[in-house]
Amino acid sequence: MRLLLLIFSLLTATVQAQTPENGVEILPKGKEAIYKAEFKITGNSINGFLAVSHKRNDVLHVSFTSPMGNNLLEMRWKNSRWKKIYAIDKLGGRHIFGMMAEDILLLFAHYQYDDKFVDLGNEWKWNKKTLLPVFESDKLVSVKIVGKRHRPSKIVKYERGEQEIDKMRIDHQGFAVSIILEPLKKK
Amino acid sequence: MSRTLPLFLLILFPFFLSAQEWKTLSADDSNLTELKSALAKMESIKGDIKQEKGFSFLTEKLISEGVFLYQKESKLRWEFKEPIEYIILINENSMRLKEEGEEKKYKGMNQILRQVKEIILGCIDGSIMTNSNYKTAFFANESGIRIQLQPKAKNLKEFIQQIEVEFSIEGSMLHKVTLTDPSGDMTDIRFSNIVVNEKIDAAAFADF
Repeated sequence: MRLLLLIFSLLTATVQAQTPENGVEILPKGKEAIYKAEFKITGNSINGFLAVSHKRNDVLHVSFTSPMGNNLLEMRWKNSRWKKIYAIDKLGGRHIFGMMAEDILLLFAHYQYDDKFVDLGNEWKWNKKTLLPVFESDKLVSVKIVGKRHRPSKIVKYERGEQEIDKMRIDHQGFAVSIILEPLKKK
Repeated sequence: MSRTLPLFLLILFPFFLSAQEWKTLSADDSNLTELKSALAKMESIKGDIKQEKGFSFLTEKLISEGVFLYQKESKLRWEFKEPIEYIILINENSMRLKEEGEEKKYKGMNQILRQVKEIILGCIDGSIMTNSNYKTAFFANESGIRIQLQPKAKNLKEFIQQIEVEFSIEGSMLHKVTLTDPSGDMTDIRFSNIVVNEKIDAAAFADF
């Protein structure tokens, strides 16, 4: 009987992982957006724009561009991995690229489209991390990311307006790195 | 009559196209000599800028708007007001940057900023035409002159694939700059309401 219950709960978790709840969607499938972006890295900040497209097949295509319009970083997430399309030297290194790639998946809650994502109800498991979501009025407002040492390593926060997200940010804990995104209002 | 009109227009269509066709110019073409001479007489230029950045994977374009002020030699204020405040101040050899109300000092970004400075100033005063860092080709049609530049050096190629600068023949005014990224994405910068040789307050280049 216990074995049956375990199989049933695992099945439920798998089904939940494949059908994300509406309140978790940051950029729904088939949508695109351009965000005012600020990358803060150890005392320096770089301003620019982040163009993001969430394709119907769950591909996430992202480009970070400077205010002068030149691309600084472009990458595409497909089949559970990032492909670097273009990066200037300063952003193309393994460490910084890997960090930004993970942060973007966390900001857009795109981990829910990864096969490794497991929804356990009050907490989620992804990429060897525990994700602790907080909902208000059925909408995701923050996610605490807990790493191997059981300490929060990053926090994602969403400021929600009446209809859409006004601002979202990810802050690393104990390490001065943040990404802040604000959607550009369409005229 | 109703049947012959579309046929007539169809026959004429290639002629309309050829009127807009860009023809290659040699480097010593008289059109280019006149353009260089007109640009050399411009002591100051100011106008509006509208930048449209296209992304290969997006239908939406990123549109930035602002103004620019140029004073000979090498003084430039390039200011985007929307969607973010972004000001580049070039005064001879100094270059300052302000983003969203805060002056920025980028470590390790100097090379990119130097190239931005060289490209913007070179497009405005026309000096990019003779810049040996670029492979250059010249074209003209009835209304304009187009200069196509491709960087030669590897470090420049990493930053930009191609620059196209268009000047109107009438008045030798800078009309449009198109920058092509190494990824193939294009940025169009259109210039309008251009005023030439009007006094510009020196303070505009001295501080934000």
